[in-house]
Amino acid sequence: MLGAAIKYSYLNAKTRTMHSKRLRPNDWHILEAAKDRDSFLRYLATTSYGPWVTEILEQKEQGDELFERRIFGALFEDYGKILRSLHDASSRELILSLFSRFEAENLKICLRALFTGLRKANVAHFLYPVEKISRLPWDKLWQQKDVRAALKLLEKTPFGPMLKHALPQFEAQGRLFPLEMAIDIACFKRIAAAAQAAGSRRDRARVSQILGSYIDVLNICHIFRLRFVYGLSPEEALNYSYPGGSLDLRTLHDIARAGDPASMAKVLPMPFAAFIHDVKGDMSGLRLKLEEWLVRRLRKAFLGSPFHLGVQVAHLLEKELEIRSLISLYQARIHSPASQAGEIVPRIFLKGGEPIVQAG
Amino acid sequence: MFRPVKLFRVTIQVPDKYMSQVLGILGDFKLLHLININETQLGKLGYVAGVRTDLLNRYEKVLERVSRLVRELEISEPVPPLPRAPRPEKDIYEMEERLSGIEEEVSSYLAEGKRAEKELKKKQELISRLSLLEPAGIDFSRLSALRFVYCTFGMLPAENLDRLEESLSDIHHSLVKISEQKDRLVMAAFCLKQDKDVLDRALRSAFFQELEIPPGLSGPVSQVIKEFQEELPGLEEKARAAQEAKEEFRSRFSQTLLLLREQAYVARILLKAQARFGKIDHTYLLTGWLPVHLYERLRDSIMKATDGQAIVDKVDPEDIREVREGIIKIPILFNNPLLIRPFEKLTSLYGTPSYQEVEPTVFLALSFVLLFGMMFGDVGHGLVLFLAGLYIFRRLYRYMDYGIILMECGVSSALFGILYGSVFGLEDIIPALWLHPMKDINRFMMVSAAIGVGMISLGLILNLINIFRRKKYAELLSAGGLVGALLYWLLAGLAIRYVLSGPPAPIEINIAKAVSGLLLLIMIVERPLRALMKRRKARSKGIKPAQQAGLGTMILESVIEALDSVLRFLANTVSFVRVAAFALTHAALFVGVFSIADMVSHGSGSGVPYYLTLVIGNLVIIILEGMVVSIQTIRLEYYEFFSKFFRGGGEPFQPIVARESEESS
Repeated sequence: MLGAAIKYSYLNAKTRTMHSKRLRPNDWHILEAAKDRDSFLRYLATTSYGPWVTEILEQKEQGDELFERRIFGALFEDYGKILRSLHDASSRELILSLFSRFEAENLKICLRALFTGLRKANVAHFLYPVEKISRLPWDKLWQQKDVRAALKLLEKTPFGPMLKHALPQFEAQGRLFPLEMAIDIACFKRIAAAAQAAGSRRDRARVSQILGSYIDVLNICHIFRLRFVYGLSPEEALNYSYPGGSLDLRTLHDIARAGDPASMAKVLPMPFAAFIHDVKGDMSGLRLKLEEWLVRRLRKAFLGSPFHLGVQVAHLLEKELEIRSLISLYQARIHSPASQAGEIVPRIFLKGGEPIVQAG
Repeated sequence: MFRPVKLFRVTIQVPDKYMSQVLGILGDFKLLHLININETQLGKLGYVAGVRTDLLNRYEKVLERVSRLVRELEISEPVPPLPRAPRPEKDIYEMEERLSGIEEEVSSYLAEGKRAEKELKKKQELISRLSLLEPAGIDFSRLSALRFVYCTFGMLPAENLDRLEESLSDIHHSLVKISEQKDRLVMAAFCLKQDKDVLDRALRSAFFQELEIPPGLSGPVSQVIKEFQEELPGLEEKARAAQEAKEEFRSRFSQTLLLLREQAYVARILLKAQARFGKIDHTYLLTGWLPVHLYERLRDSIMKATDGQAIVDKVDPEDIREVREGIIKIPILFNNPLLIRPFEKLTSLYGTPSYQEVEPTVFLALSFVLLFGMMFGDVGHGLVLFLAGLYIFRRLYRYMDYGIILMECGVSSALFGILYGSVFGLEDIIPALWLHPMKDINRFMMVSAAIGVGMISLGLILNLINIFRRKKYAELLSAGGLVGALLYWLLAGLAIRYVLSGPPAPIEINIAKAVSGLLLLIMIVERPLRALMKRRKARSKGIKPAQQAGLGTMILESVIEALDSVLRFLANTVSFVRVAAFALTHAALFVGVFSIADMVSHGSGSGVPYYLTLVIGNLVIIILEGMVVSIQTIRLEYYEFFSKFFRGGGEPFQPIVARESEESS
């Protein structure tokens, strides 16, 4: 315990300081009431997102994608701070594996650009600013002539083995979808492996619990999207689901087999079933409920013994959700000013709330 | 050798009917630096000749066809020299005909060879695929008899098996593991034919890679493999025959094809060069720089080819007003012997000398080799460098120049190795004819400084020559001119006098003080005086002089500049002591290597690690120290030597063919 206290005291203090800078219900209320884009951004500039928003305000002509990507700079700064405070390789790997989800997004954009013959300049506004932390050879990747050459360059990276498996399907189908799925799966495989290897037994237990819940939420939304947005079959949706969650394959299959969104909500196991029983069956409603549940779970990591990596993972995931909610609200302020924040942002952000204390 | 090749500016006017022959002659002479007509008055008036696109296209096609044959026949010999440049309009017919003849003879064999190789490869791949299924003892006859069952074979990432099983739990299926290949499972997947789509979708999403098995196979898989293997010798024989035919064609046609390609290439360059020519009605006009000694021959050749209907004129650069005023630059064509020529690259790296200044490559080459040898003196290492250079010279044509430099440095190292008595760091094999660097440090440093005095003096002399050539006599009074040189030599003389025979006599010191004071005074006042005279001259002509700094400021600047120059002379000379320092480093590294080798041999108790350490240590010294010494030598050349006289700003000579080839590449 003493060892853990020495190891985590500074890191914890730092993480809690970062966590304390999250938006308060009052901030959300003012942002919800913002008349337009400018007033939204101007208020946001007074919060902990100030440095990134000021930069966006100065470059008005760049469009909304710039906000959506640049605002993640705030999250990546937290990633950087946590990584700098961690000294053992397994803990760093855990945080880096979480970060690799953003690398994966950029990688997909890069491959799409190479596939369609676009240059980096054409898609730069879709890219997350990952350069400070990422170790992937981005410059070289963007210089490649085609997807195959880029995959060759990625052989030795964590994405390499899975991309190699997906390559025959990419060639057979002539579309990027198998590669994109492979990138995501590789990413979550890495996260699961890092969670299994992270720090002490306490670290592993708490981290696995948090990441298990997170991946479950993602998997439910992912299967929903694959089935009812992309029209894939249950077997495909299951095979493309992310590894590392706490839901077993049979449960995921049951979810994938549901014939429509409403019945899908019905087959969800506990604790999800209890939490989302009133969802009507649309994607955003489901996502919002699940995120609400997840944030409560994440906040639970800040209770009890503070000496484990779960605190850092929970902070990073909550901040990520906060940013995604911010983006949703920002888009709503521009495209449908009449919409209510409650339809867009998890209620726990708007009203505040206590974490779920009972085990899920 | 000390000057670039003397050039004339040549102007050629040719009736268009003779243009093809003249192009060929220009290609033969090669050494014409073409002036783009667009840069001249005529070009600005719009009298620019166009490129003959029809002919150019024919050459492009020929080039494409020849290149394809060269590629397919895998010809990699060096390109033979062209006996003469092509006459573009005339030679195209013969080239096309010769090429068609070769194509007719070769194409069918090449196609046959390709087919055979492709079929062989296909069969080999199929055998290797079928071999994966061999452990299961599959019988294709029985599989094809299945009426209600669908079956497929392939490889599945091992980690995806559980998901795949679960995803297929709604249908009757069977996944049979046959073998393992690294992280993948070779599998057979079965289901009812009615569920084929479900199975395929599931397999696809689990990244299952289907093994392509041709339909219609029958019998056990081992028997099928055996049957295919029996077909292999026949296919291999076919492929071998095709390969032999290819080799025969290669030996018969390689020279012809390479010549044709070169001809087409040069013809294309010459045709493209027409875009730089002028044209008025039916007369082409081209102008460029040509070495003086080639002028008569070029004129005679053109006059003969055009039945005396061309006009070929020359103008001495001295007579061109724009050249005198520095508006037009005369290109620099280096003129050095074979052993010096590779060092032209080092000169060009610093800058291209202008036409008027001394061409310094020869000094650079000699001093480079000398300094390198002094710093890297060892017979064994010199030999290794020489052999490495020889290998590059003989095998790597593109880097031939570097091979020559390496060989010369190797010889110099070996000679200094004899003077130092060092063979791979062993100093007891041959006697030192001069000194051991580690034992005679002071003397070695003196010699290094003396070499520095010599090189800086040479730089100052070259600068004086440049001043005279450029007729900028006023610069003689500056710190970089005669006055500065005299001051440097006076101080250097005093130092040498001190080293050789002790402190100078008081009278000598007094004389030196007076002379150096006078020289410093000249250096300080020359610029303000010149400025004053210029201002007075301008006033006398009634011209308002340009705004300049005041007299006091100018004198202050001159004082600082003079002091700076004196200090720089001192620093430049001291900088040469590094020659001794790096020679000592080289010797000290040997001591280090021998010490490590001793330690290793004591530890292991056998002689092999000792010699292994020596070999590795010597290799490290050759590579590491070789690089460091090269960099230091270049540094001395550029900063201490070139900076004394080299102004640069010249334009490199670009022969008509080279210029176009660079553009095309």
